[in-house]
Amino acid sequence: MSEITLLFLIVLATIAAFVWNRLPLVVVAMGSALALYFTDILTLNQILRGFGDPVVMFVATLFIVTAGLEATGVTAWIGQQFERMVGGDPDRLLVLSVVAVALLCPLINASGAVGALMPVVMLMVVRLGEQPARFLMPMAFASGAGAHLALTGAPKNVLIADAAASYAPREINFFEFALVGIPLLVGTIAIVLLFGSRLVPARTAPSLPRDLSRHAKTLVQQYRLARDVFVLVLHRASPLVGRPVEDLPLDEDVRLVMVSDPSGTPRLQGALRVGDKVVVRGPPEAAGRFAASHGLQVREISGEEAAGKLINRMAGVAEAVIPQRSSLIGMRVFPGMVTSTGDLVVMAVQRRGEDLVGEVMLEAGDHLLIQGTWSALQRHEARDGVLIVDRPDTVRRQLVPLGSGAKSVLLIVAAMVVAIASGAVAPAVATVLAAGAILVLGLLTVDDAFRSINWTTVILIAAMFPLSTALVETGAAQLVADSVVEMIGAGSPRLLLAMIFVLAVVMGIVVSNTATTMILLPITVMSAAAFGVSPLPVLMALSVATSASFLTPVSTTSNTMVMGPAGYRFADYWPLGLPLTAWYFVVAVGLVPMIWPF
Amino acid sequence: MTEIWIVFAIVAGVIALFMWDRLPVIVVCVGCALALWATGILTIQQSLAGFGDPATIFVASLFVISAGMERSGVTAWVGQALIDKSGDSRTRLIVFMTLAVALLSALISVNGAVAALLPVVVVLAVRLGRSPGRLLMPLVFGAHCGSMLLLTGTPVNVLISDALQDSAGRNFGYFEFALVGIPLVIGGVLISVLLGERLLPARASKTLPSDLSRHAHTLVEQYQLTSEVQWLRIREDSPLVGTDRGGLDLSGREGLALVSVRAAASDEVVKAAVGDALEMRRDKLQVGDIVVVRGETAAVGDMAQELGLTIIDDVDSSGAANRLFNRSSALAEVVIKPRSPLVGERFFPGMVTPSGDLIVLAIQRQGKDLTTGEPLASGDTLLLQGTWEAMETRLEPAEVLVVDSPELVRRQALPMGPGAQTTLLILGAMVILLATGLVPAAVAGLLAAGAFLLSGIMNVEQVYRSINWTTVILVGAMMPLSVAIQQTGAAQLLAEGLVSWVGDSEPRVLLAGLFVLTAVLGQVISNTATALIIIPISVVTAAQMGISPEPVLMAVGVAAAASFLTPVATPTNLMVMEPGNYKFTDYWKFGLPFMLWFFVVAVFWVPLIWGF
Repeated sequence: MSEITLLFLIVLATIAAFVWNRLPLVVVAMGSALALYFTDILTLNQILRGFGDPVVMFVATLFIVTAGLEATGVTAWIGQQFERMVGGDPDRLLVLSVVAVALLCPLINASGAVGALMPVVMLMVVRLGEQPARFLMPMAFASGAGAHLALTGAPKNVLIADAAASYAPREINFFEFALVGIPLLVGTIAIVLLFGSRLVPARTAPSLPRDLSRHAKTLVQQYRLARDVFVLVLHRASPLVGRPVEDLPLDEDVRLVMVSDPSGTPRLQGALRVGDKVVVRGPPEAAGRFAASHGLQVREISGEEAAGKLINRMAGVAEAVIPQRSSLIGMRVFPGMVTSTGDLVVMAVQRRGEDLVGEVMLEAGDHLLIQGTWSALQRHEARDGVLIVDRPDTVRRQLVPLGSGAKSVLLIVAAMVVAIASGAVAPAVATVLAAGAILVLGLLTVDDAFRSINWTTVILIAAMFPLSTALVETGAAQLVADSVVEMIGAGSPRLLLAMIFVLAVVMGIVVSNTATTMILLPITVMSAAAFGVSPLPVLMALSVATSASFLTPVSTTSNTMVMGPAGYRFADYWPLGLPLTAWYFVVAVGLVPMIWPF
Repeated sequence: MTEIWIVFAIVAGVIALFMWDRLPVIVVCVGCALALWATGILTIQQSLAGFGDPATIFVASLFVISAGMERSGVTAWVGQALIDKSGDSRTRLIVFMTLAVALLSALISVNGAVAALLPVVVVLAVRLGRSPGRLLMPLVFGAHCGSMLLLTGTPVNVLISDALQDSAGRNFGYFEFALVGIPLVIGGVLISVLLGERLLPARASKTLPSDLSRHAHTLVEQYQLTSEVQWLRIREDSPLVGTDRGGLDLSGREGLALVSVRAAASDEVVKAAVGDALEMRRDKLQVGDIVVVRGETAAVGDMAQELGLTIIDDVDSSGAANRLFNRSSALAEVVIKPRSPLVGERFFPGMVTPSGDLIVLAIQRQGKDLTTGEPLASGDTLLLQGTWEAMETRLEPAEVLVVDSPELVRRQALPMGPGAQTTLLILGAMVILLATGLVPAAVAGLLAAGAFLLSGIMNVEQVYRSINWTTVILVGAMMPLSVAIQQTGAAQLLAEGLVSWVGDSEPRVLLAGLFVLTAVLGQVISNTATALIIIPISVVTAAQMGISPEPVLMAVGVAAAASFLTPVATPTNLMVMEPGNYKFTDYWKFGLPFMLWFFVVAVFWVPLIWGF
């Protein structure tokens, strides 16, 4: 059997395994690479080379950058803006997410745009009570149109522009792609709005993010923190100024909830200062008496305000449950107590949903509300003897928009975008530097960074590289291309566009669009010359065609990225993908020659 | 020439940053690769090529195999065997422990082996009334010795085997490492047995790692399951024989609850749950099958009489534990969360959870059984029984908090769990592939990792989590530095210096010099990083002196494994610091004899086997 036959068999088997969808994607992808090794088409080093490709590095580190945006609350902030604009209308969310992805594409490329907006959209979806399946696929498909809004929309644009510079009478400008990009985007929105709900299957997502946006209020209610709670602000004249926090003289009826400095950071030790807030609980008269005798100014606070006191940029709360056999059982605690580590305060203790007053002995099943700075909460999260109800990190990410470090991350991302857009450094280098900066500044832990990388996407891209290499090296791609040119014979040049479109779409099903572009570029240019037409329309049609990767989840990275979170199956993509492909076909064959004449 | 100095500057910078230890390791490594690109020494493709190197992929796949063995209970089994075999004698315990950890680390690397045996050894120490400090350092150092037994023991072995392939056209064989590994292990055992008492501190430890190996017993005692759970065998005259397993319905009987139905002479629990008849296997009940029921003794007796069942009464605490907690049946303790949707629901022991595949065995509030019929409140604890799979997938995070994660319990407490045989088969096949050299090591590793995925022992998520990405990225990102040291002639320059220093004296002097250099670097920066820096230098030096690279590379490998003098030399040294209550200076006292022995093996034994 010749190499080319073997190769076609492997391609077919790979597609079949992808379509069958019973094996993990990574197994199929690595399997196809190993098959190329076992059939001697490629060497071991060749099949693994993909893992060291800059594109793989780019994709992997982009996940870290995205996670950095999320961890510092930038995503939460974008989400809030989004939420304001959406206003509870699912259709508006659909259109907005499509437009936002398309606009972000030229800045942070397709997978970056989908990666950045996915968590936001997922959260919105949860709040709207919908399933992500309806929203994520249109979002992923929008990246095809977004790639055409500017030269930086996709790596393949650079290849196309390069070819135009060498073969066409003139170069393609930075924004010239938008001439087809805008009609593509408008068509995408129309198709998604008209047919989206019918053609995208209603899948249930395997896991939805928990909506913690009302978390602070929930806790205020649970621990009744808003009832009979008073904030007492220290005057300049108060005799308490300068006294250590631990020595705060409390009356019998008044219980201390917390002491914080004016910025909201809990003050656990040291002297009380002017402007400090002492939060107490108790009957109004008692609180008034207490305030009057110590020169404090009383302010009653609402549930809203209490929630803001609990969770802000600096500090937050965590709920802890005491399990059976815990070493903490029998320990005496009281609200206002500072834990033995010295950086957390017990705010309330409850047993079976009832408040416990005064000093109590802990029993199994008791729950405690604990307050402290975010870093202290995270540090003690894994302590033995307690179970933490909601991870402080998760709470912080969702509740604290633009938390500490948000500015640094935004600066880093801005620098990255400028570096990529200006072409100062290779995209992979820019993202690696950005990810490195995020890690060095401690905005994300190394473990969280690894957890944020979608390894399936990374390995899939790396492991599918050898297949495109093999297609080029064995001459299989050439073979296919030759027969296409032969088939057209002396037909209209539009027929050539149509053929190239179909070829690119079919190849694009398994081969990455960058690889498809690379394989088809020489054929495109040569056949344009043979036909005696300008290469510009042919190249543009190829560019549109390679963006039309809508038929399977493996067609593009963004398609793969949304597969898991939305719970799509392999065959879910083509029903919506087909009308979109048809629209792209119309644009490529009908509109392109009108803008760039033959 | 300038290029060489740039490379030296980068090497110095990398070592300094590693020692400073303030930046994440991966930032330093990837930064090193980028620096090589930015200074124009390598192209971007070259500086990232390490990630696509077969050695990197092989190292990654080894983590998957290690995790597979842990997950399927093979490592727990080794720990159990260690407890059973060691008895009371100290010598015996140390010998068995060192051998066990050496063999394990040869197969699944030092980190995996120490992490698996650490809790077991602590339990043994407590049980034998010894200070854990007397056992833990021998454990870790034994693992370092054992890592030289097989190719798979440490990433360094893979790297030196690769380097030999590049320079001499042949690999070190899979078992070839044992030629130095066996003397190292024997020496390690002797040092631990003879000098351990004298050189190791006997301090009481402050914090011990949580030991879950007796988890089932703890739970059975906490929930008093011995008295309540009865085991009934189906007699020949039972009317149940031949009926559907799913037809067994106890819902009409007051105070009785079906826990499980177990096929005769088989470990397989057939889920038989009230109201869940459709889910059940369609098999018929047979003579000898065992019905497990929870309820009052009198009621159980009545039922047994009526249905022709024999009560098995040999069930003591450990019997009950073994029967509720085995390959096919897991126990999990969960706490009702505040604001859980389950608050206010009425649960009773024996009922099936709404998801349909977990059974509530007991409900406790503040350490006492909850009165039947009382609604659940937040903070109540439920003991659930079900398959391992159900435990890992069905527990709803919005409703309950899991006290000990089933995955962790399973790893530590379930020797030879589900999939253990498959795991051993895969491991055996991989060893054969590696030993015969039928396929390159990376292919063997990938095939084994793929087999774990396909056989369902691990899912894709678990595979990703099992890989220590820091190590993988370190190998991948530091490899270009190795290339650059060689390409720019930096290795040549150093090698010339070394050669002129060695002069006309024996090549053994070179081995000694390389050993000291490697060992010193290895105490402060990672072994793998050390090896990647030293390997190109040693290969070029060997070529300059006109000697075979084999003894030189092997000596470097031995030296890289000799991380004995500080707690920061390897992650495993650090891992035992707290449970052993060691101080910084404890390491070199006990480590020095090991270091000397490694030196002797590297300089005098290695050239006897691999001639110059």
